[in-house]
Order: sequence, then structure tokens, then C-alpha cells
Amino acid sequence: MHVSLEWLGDFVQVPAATELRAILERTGIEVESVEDPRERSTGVVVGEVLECTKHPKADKLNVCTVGDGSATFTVVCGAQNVALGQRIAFARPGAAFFSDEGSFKIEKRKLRGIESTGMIASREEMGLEEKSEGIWVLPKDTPLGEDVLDTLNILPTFSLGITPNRPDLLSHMGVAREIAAATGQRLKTQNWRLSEKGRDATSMVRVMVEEPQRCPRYIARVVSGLQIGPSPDWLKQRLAVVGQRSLNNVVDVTNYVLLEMGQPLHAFDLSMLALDANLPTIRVRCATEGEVLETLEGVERTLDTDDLVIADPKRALALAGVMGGANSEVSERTTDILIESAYFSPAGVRRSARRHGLHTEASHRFERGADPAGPLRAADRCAQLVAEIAGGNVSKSYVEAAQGVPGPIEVQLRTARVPKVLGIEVDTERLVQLLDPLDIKCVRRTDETARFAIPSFRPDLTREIDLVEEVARRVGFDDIPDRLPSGATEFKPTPKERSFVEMARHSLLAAGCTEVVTFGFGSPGAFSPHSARHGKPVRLLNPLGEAMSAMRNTLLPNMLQVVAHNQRQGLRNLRIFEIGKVFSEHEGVRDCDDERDRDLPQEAWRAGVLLSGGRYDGRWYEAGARCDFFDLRGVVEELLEVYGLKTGVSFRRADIYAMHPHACAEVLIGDQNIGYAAQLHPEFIEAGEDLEGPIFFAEIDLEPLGAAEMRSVHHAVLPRFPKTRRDVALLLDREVGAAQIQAYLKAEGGGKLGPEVVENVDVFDVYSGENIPEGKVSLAFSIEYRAIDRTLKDEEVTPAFDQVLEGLQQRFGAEIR
Amino acid sequence: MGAKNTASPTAEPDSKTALAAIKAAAVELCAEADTEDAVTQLRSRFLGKKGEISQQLRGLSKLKGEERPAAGERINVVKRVVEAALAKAQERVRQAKVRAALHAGWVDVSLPGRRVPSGGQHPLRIIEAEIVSSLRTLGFTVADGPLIEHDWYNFESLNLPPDHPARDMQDTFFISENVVLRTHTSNVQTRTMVKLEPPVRILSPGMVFRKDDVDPTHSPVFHQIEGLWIDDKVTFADLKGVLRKFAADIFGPDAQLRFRPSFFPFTEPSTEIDVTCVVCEGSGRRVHTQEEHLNCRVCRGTGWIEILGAGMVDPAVLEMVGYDPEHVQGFAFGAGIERIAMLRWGIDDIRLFYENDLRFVQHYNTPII
Repeated sequence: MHVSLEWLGDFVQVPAATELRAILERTGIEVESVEDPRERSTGVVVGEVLECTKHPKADKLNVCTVGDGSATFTVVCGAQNVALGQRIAFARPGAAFFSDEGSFKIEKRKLRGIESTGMIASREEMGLEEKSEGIWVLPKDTPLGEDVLDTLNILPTFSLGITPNRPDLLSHMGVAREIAAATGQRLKTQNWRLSEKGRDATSMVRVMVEEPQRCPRYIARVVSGLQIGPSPDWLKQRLAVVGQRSLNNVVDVTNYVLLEMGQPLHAFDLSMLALDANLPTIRVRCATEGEVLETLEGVERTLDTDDLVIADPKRALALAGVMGGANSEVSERTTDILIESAYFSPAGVRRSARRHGLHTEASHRFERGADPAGPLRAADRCAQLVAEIAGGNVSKSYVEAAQGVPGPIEVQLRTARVPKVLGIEVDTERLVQLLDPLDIKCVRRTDETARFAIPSFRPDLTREIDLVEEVARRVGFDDIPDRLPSGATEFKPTPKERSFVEMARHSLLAAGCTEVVTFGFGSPGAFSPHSARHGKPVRLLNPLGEAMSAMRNTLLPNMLQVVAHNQRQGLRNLRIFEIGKVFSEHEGVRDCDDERDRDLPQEAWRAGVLLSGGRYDGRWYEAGARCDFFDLRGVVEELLEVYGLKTGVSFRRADIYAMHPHACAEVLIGDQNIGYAAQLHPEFIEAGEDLEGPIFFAEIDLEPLGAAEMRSVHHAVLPRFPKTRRDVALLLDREVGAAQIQAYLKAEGGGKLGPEVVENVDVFDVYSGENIPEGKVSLAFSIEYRAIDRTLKDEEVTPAFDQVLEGLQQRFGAEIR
Repeated sequence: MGAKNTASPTAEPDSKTALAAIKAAAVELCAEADTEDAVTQLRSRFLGKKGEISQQLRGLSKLKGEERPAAGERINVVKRVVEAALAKAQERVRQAKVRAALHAGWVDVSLPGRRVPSGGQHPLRIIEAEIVSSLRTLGFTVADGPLIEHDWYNFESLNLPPDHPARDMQDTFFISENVVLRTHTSNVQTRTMVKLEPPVRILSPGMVFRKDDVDPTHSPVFHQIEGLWIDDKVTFADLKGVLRKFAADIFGPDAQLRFRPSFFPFTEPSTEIDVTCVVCEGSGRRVHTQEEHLNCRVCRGTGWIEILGAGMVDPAVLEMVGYDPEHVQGFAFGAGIERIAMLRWGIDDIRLFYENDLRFVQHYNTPII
């Protein structure tokens, strides 16, 4: 909300801008920005137009002689409203204007042959309004030669961030009240007086509130015989500095009183109201099914039966607390008005405002909670100002419908509660003193407790803790001491639900991968084709656009965007990983302890690893080595080993969407599928934008790894006896796969000695190509034999080895090379 | 020569001449020998069983008994000379070999070293890890919760009933009427409290979502870290102490803090916490630039930057999770990880975190000590 420091001056002594800012921030009112006209211009003084003639060569220009009390200047002026005798804001040579685009210095310059020495400024140029029509004409009595900003007491405006709990601060008077409390002042008394004339309003209009819960209070005042016209300059200008457009005198007054007192008001053209029992009648009711209302900004709205409307006996006139309707709008022909000043209950206004996507000054205040005691005084103020500015008579009295108006409340504060929550020492007397300036008055007290009457404009104060907060604000948060919690601190390990994620991160960093972080959502077109494996992507109801409308069910698409970005930058040696959540729609009914969880989709931690380009950094010693499937598999193996998964892990050839049909493996722990490692299908890469292959990608579910039973480690005695090694090279069908042979050798290699003596089986050479028939591969294995209790003799090992070789030939059709 | 002419019945004159010849030959040949093989050959030629010296020694038997010692001594002198020459040759050859081997080991020490690649943490994780390790010393542990959350955990349990205007503070993505993308990690707080009895001391870092368009300072996806401490007598003063430690660990011991009253539905009293502007060092001006008279771009002239929101957990929240606010109380705080990273390193565009240019990501990695 914008507040003008000059306007605040109606209610309190306003401290200097910097001091005020500090005061407001200490009390919890955030100053979002300061608009200071002194930062927009310098050296602009009050001048007088002494002569004004048409420019001989340009119809639209005037040539003026401007005096500043000591000298005269010739000025070429393009504004249409310049006239002889005006007092104006005059920028002499040397004056300057500043805006976001830069600065502009006033110098002598020729305009169509006439030398202009200075400029007559507009309010726009001086940073006092958004858009000006013509120059700024000052009051006749403004002293010549004086600095315009100083002599007219033009002060900065603040843009305040008012938190939703403080609707009372959404007005100049409300902010002034807070300043007064913080600076030990009393609010200035207001000396306007309402004079009423003629008939009694109760004999002129009727008000029937049919929904008192939605509208506990409705006050109508009548002003008749007024004349609609433009507002006076002072009113326009006050509205302009806080960013409000001037419309006409009556509408401007309702806006003015809103900004002054925080009470939203609406003026109906009384002649537009249909009669009931011969009187123009206001009905406050819910909209009927399919009822239509054209709101002020010209939009036809079909109303919901939950919408509260202000209506006459025939039709809806306004969406209550949100916006007026076009059918009863004040127009040039209006002479009589009904001023509405009401209290609408917050939740209903909020529902209507949201339903119709309308956020107005009125709805903003009502939905946060206006002052239920505020409508009468605001109606009086509005009527008085309308009569003063637009003429006409304020009818005697007013019509009020009031039922169930939130009454004054009292809240008890236990003195001991304050030190308990805030950690400061206070007694009851001090609490009473602290709260009193906020109009929170003590009504009863003992040493242990005090009871406070809450002012009607503070809907946020209903509980003891609310008063504790007020005490804290009054003490000043910076004046509450700080201390570190004392006493024993219990340290707990990171829970497993979190630590297994960290373990993966450490493993992947140690494997030389760099971490990336991408959005948890993306394009459904990228995620959906993976549904078969990863489940159906979860869709957003209100996304920021199609490209961000589905939750990721796989890490691949967003990581590929990272690849594309980096490849475009010429970074091609990629070794990256991401750890994050993936989501999918839940199939079937979910079994949960907490029934709220039943509505939630599935969500799981996953790690993605992606390699592409040179093995590491393409350094001189790599001799151009490119990364391949086995670099990827190695990273995955290391990842699994962190969780103690060395045995029982297998990689099984698989067919997965977007993956190379011959370079793709599922990763299993026992029978459980936990992910895959693969080369991306070249056609998939080609179809992607800006991607360069080959790309290798693995995606591993982390929860099963976390669930894997951690082996507790015990000391193992190191072997004391030497080992014996046997090597064999085999020619095999490549489809057999090394893992099968390795497993066979491990299980059977010991022959009669038993599998315990086979300490290790390794593949040490893989060869295909020249001299190897198509579809075959040469694999060389080493077997290391060792017994724990003796040195194995050749005579023992050789028969065992020979036996397993025979087995290999029979079982796998292996040819020993 | 004369020796032949003066042939005598004894071998002595002959032997003397032969010895001299052997000596001369051995010394000369040893000086020339440049391989191990050559030295071995010379050794066997002169000192071997059938070598020239051995033959001389065998010749002694032909001499008379009284001549033998002197002749033997002469031969031994020559033998020692030959041995010395051979040893010298051997050493020279060995040294040459070492030199050759060393030569073969010549490297260009100016070439870059061979490296095991070291991975790099994402800058957001670096900040997260620093915060976690700062607060772990006070006994906080890390907790986790869902990103797609039931309205009750994301809003209602946090004192944000439906139709509450404070819901406007967080533009929300919906999955269904009751399910949202979490707008903060506070859902982890209520989930933890629903599950556990006090005392509770947790941190909840993670991804959150708000319906903001992407620009240099806004992202619909960002990261938060929140803390929660519930016990029987944790006060606002403790909150201030803990956050002061947090700020000192993250922004350095000189960082000043300011606590401003604010509003969050789930805490009361609520506060927003500012740290002295890292760019202008709290002066509010564009220090060290030509435009020193103008307001600092980062803090807009105030000298302060907001880094945290915090407060005492609202009694309504405690009741909602089944705690008794008469007996337990505590505080919660939250910070945007991107925001802290941006302030800490002077990063001016939040989009960089999600673009993942590897040069950017790796830039913030410092060796782990």
C-alpha cells in the first residue's frame, strides 16, 4: 500500500523519511520502496507566467516570459494549459530531472528559432504522478522564487508491505496510529463536522439485509442535489501521489475516505434504484441461480448462488464488498446518491473475489477484516466531503441494518507467559504500559494476569499469544536478548530416510561426476513415453504452461536439457548426476496409516547418471578415449557397493524405451529391479533438439538401496598361505555373456576341493574381431585358488581346473584357446 | 725382443715380460670396455680359471722353490692391478647404465598431471550442506517429507485454513483439490510432529514450488531449508541465539543481524531477519564505484538484506499436531537456499542454478578439508 508522508501529517507529526522508515520496520511494517520526489528533480522553483504568446513558427508551441521574482526568462512551452498569470513549477537552466532512464539537465536551447532558457514542468516530470496532461499549475499564492517541493511541502511516499493479519494498517489513519504509538504521540483531532439538512434518510431509502451473517452491518447515507464534476486539485493530487486515478468528485471522495480511514465505500446513483413500498430499496442477498451482473469495468459476470450481492427489488447492483455494477454507477447526470458503508464478513468476500478473479481495494480490506465499528464514521466523513466538494445536502440521519456485528472482545494475558515465550523479564504493570499506546486497554488486572479490551480495528488479536506478540513488538525484537540454548544437547545420527540419499551423493561425487539440479516438473510429452517403465506422470491442474505441466517420472528428459545446454556451450565431456524425487500416479488403493496420504501420488528418490564425450576431460594422456557403457556401469557398481551391495547384483539385458537395443541392461538386486544402465538409442538422440551422442545414462532407485540390510563389518583374518592362479581363454557365443562364465567358474572351479578355494574369478581380456568368427567372442579368465589352512598343491588344483574346463566346453560350448 | 735373445733356462724373464704385457693389455682393454658383457669377457680372459693370470700362476710350479715367492708376488701385484681395472670398468659401465636408464625416464615436467576426475557439488547443495553442518552442532537432524503434499500438511495444519487471505502469500500449484506441490518445506515439520513426541529438533531442506514466472529473481521451483525446535522451554531469545550462530557460520562472524516483526500464519511472534548487505557492507551506497552517491542495487539503500523468516510456533499449530501448547513450545525458521547462495557469492540470476552450465556449477567447489 502506498502512503503519502504529507497525508500522514493530517494525523501525526511525521518524522523525517529515514527515521520513519526505521520506526516502521521496527514495528513490523515493511517499507518496500520509497518514492522521493527530491530524487526526481532539483532546482525547480515557483515561477509566474508574465507573458504568453503563440510561437510565430509553430502553432502548438507558446512563447512565455517567466519571472521567478528576481529575473525573467524566455521559455518555449508545448503545453496547451499554459496561460498568463499562472504560478508554475519553473526549471531554470541548471535544474535537472532524473528518471529510471537517466538524467536530463535544463540548458539554453533553440526551439524553432527562439532561444528557450528553462522549462515549465509537469507533475509527471517531477515524479508526482504517472501521467500528466499539461503543466503543473500551482496555487495563486505560492511564493515566487521558492523551491517548489519545499514551499508546497511535497514529501516522499512509501510503498508498504502490509501483512495479511493487519487490515487496520491499510489506511493512512491506521499507519498514523502505529506511528503515534511508536513515537509516544497522540493522534491529532480531526475537526471536520458533518452538517445534515432536510428530510430524514429513513424516509428516503430502505435497507433489507437478508444475509446478516454475510453482512452484519450496512449503513446508507443519502446526499441529494449534488453536481458531478472534476475533483479539486488537492484531492486529485493526494490520490495521484498514492497511485490513484481521479474519476469524478464523488468517486474520488469514496476512494479518498477508503485510503484515509480504511473503510471501503460505494456510491449508488439513487435514481437508478427500483422502488419497494414507494422507496428506493437496497436488498443484501445471495445471487440467484444464473443471475448476471455487469461490473464497473464492463465485464458481464454470471453469479454463483454463494455470491453476496447488493440489489434493489429488481436486480443485482453490486458484488458485495468487491465491486459495484454498471447499472447503478454514478454518472455525469447523477444528482442524488446513496453512500454504502458496510461490514462484510471476510470469508464470503474472499470466495466471491476469487471466484470472479477480482482483486479490488475493497475486497482486499474486507477479506482481511475491516473494522466492524468503522462504517458509521466513514459514511459521515464521505457525506461531509461529498457535500463540501460536489455540493448538495446530506440528509438527516442514516439507515442502518445491523445484526450480529462482531462485538468488542477481551483477551487475558498471564504475566508469566511473556517470559516463558519471549525470554524477557516483565511484570504486569509493564505489560499494561506497553500495550496502552496501541489502544489495547487493561480492564482488570492482578499481579499474575491482566485482561485487555481489544480495539475493534484489530481482528488479529483474539488469543493470549497475540498479545505476547504485541508486547514483543513494543519492546522491540532487537532488544530481546539472544542466547544459545543451554543444557545437554542430544546428538542424533541423520535418519536413514535421509542418509541413504547422502550416501549416493558421496559415491557419485567420488566417481568424478558433477551434480546438477533440475526442475521437479517438465513437459508431459517428454515424460509420458516412459510411462511403461516409470508409471504415469502426475499432471498439474494449474501449470505455468504446457512445458511445466507434469511432474517428472524419470530424471532423463530434464538432464538431457542440461546436456543440450552444455553441448551448445562447447562443453562435450560430460559426467553428471542428479539425485531427486520422481513421481507417478498411484495405481489402485493405497494402504496408509494416515488417510490423507491416500490421495498422494507415488514419490521416490532416484539417482540419474549421465556420461558423454571424452572419458574424462580429453586430456593428452587419454589419447582420445571416449566413455562407453562400461564407464557408466562402473559408476553404477561403485554406487551399489556403497550400500554393501557387491554380490547379488546383476545386470540383465533389457529392452527399454529410448535405449539402445543392444547396449541396455536392467539392474537387479536378486530379483528386484532397481533401475537400468544403457546407451541412449541413436535415433532418440537424433530426434532430440541439439543433442550429440553417444550418451550413456543410468537411473537407479535409491529407496531399495537404503532398505538393503547393511552388513555389520567384522575383522577378517588375512590369508597366510599363498594363492595359485590358472588362466584360460575361451571362444564363446557372445550371447552367453561373461557373467555366466564367471559365476560358473566361481561355483565349479574348485571341483572336489569345493567352491571355498576359489578366491576370485576375473575377466582379464575380451577380444573379438580378426580371427574370431562373427557372433563369437574370446574371453580370458583368471581363477585364483587359495585355501585358508594350507598351501594348495599343483596336484590338487590341476585336476579341479581341468574338470571345470571340461564343464565349460560341455555346458557353454566353449572352445578352449 | 731381448727376452727372446736372452733365453734362459728359467721362465722368469719370459714371465716378467708376459706379465707386463698382460697388465698393459688388461688396463688398456678395461679402459675401453663399455658394456657389461665386455667387462665379463675381460674378467674371464684375465681372471677366469683358464685366464691369463691363472696361467701365470700355474707357471709358478715350473720354477724353483726359492724363486716362487717372488714370482708369485709379481703375479699377484699384476692380478690386483687387473682386478682394480676391472672393478673400475664395471663401475663405469654400471654408472653408464644408470645414466641411460635415467635418461630414458626424462619427462616434460611442465605437462599437466594425470588426474582422477573429482566430481563437483551443485552450489545449492554446498550451501545446504553448510547450513546442515552448522546446525548439526546444536543437535539438529535432517528429516524428509513428500514434495507432493496433502493440503492439510501444507496449509491447514500450519494454521492456514481454506479461504484464508494468507494463502495469497504463496501462489500454489494444484494436483487436485486437496493435493498441492508443497509451497514450503514446513510440511515436514507438521509431519514430524504428528509422528514424534517432543523434544523435536529437525532440519528440512528440499525442493519447493510456487507459481511464479521465471525471471532473474523468481523461479517456480526453488529450495528451502527450515528448522524446528520444540521442547518445554525454548524461547524467542533462543531463536535469536540459534539464528545468530547460523548467520555467523554462513555469512561470517562480522555479519550483523536485525530482527523485524512480521507475520506468518504458523508462527507467533513472527520475525523476518536481515543481515548486513554483503555488497555494500551495510553502507547502503554503491561503494567502490563511480556511483557512490546512489543507493546500493542489492539492498536498495537500506544496508540490510532479508535472509530468514522465523518465529515461535503458533499454539494453533501445536494443537493441530496433538501437542499441548501449555507444556511444549518452540521455534521454527526458514530460508531460501538460492537466496543465500546468491547473496553469499554475488550471483545475480536465479536461473543459473537450473541451467546447470558445468562451468557455473563447478566454479563454487572448493576442496573439502
